[in-house]
Amino acid sequence: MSERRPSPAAWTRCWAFLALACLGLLIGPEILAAQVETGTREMRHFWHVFIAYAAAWILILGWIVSIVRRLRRVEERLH
Amino acid sequence: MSLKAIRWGALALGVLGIGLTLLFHWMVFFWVSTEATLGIVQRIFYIHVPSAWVAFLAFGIVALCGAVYLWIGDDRLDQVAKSAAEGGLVFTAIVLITGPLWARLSWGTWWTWEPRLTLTLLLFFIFVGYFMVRNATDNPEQGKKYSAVVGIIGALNIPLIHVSVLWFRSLHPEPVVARTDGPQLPGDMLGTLMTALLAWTLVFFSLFLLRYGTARLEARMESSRASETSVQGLVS
Repeated sequence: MSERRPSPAAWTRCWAFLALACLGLLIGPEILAAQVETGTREMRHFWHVFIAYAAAWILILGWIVSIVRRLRRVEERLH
Repeated sequence: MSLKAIRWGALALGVLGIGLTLLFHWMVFFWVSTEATLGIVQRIFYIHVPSAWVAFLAFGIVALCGAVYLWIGDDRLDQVAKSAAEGGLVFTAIVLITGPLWARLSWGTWWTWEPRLTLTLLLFFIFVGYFMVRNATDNPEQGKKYSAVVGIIGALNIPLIHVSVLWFRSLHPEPVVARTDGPQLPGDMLGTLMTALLAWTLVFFSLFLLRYGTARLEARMESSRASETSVQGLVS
């Protein structure tokens, strides 16, 4: 019976989820603290910061996924 | 450089880059002091400026390798340029997304046609054109040459983007780090920015190397396929 191994795409999804979870853990307490201490204006600033960092990570993860998919395709053809 | 060395290099740079990225995120959200006038939203600066730096670095590599490729015609240089151009596009997209998010709260508008913004958008479209030109010709060699020329022309835009805030009337602030009289930032902000710059540069080089390795494999596959086809042609 052959050993089952996760595909590179599954690994990428796993890393993407972990990265987003880390980002959430980093920013989450700050947002919660802001909700208690400050008003809606400050919250809007937090949302802009959160979206900026999240968008950056989504774009970088998109590039990683595209490289991994391309690499997998080439390796499959070579083997 | 062998493919194995490229992969190991990408892995080493990636691990270092991710470590430094975690550190700079911690610095941004827990350590650095909040700017007095702009408030929390100024923290976008620590991702906006490093992304712009990495994009300029990537397009500089594209122009340099493009110029040498036109001169000596080594395909590996074209693969380097193509890989760097992909990264440059990703990081320019980050600049173009994070900039308006900051501008909405500090300038009161998402977008304005001021020189630096317009030139950065132009840079993005020039490098979209770089990929369109590559795939627009029937002859791949010709596509590589045309795209090298587009890459060189696109990179000429970079110094213009840098001096645009000094030469033209602009909403963008004047440079605070790359100044002749030294950086004008408090120590903690400068430290965070430098950490972010280093982290983003390492992340870029890691992915760039991985992409270059993939491009080398693709080229190898194409050449083996071409030689198989020619052998089959000779046999039949």
